[in-house]
Amino acid sequence: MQKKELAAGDSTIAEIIFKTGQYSGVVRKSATVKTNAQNNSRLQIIANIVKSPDSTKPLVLEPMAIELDSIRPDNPDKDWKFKVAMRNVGTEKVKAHQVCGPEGLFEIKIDEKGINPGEERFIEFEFGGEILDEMFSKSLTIQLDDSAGTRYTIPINKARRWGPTRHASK
Amino acid sequence: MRGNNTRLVTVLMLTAALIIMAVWSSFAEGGDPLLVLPEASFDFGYVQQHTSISHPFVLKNGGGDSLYILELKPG
Repeated sequence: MQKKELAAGDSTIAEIIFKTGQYSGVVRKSATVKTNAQNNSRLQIIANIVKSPDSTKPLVLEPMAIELDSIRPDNPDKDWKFKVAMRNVGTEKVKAHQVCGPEGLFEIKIDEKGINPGEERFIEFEFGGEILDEMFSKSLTIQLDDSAGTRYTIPINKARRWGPTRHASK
Repeated sequence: MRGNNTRLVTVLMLTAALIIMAVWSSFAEGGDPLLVLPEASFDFGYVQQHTSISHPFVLKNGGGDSLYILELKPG
């Protein structure tokens, strides 16, 4: 949390991190915010946790999670890109748009032309050298324009600092 | 006697008016801190097992005095 004391009208961000572990199916978790106000409140997250990406109709995402420590860019001094494929395995055309994503760390471009059944479109992530020394656990949530408003969340994790060690190892 | 009663009623009415004004003023200025959550729930949709996901929630002080966030805990 950025701030623990808020003046009148002020605000802060509380980032809730959830480890999906071996959970399966729809999971609801909550966190209680205790304050000096009389109205302590609860935050709630809901996730539909799946073992296999093939079970996520109408889209299948490949990969369904990004572990940056396992990706080696050719030249870490330059910006580099990474793609996630969105394959429509349903029977209707769908469009995807971003609901929530990490701010500032990298650029995200979602192909919003619409995906016909059987077609594939991409989400493109562009990373800059500034993330080399960063460690983070972020995620991107997209939503479809189908009647259910189906959502998908792609975790983007980096558990190690690369920095000079990474350059030296090349 | 009747004059005393009138004076008593006037004093009581003035007192009541002052109390009402004080209470109203307290509400109007938002004297107490107030936790406001513009978004209290977030649906991630489909997520893979064995990974970490995160979501930033905004916590706002909608009251008139300082709000102290004492604890944020699961449950």
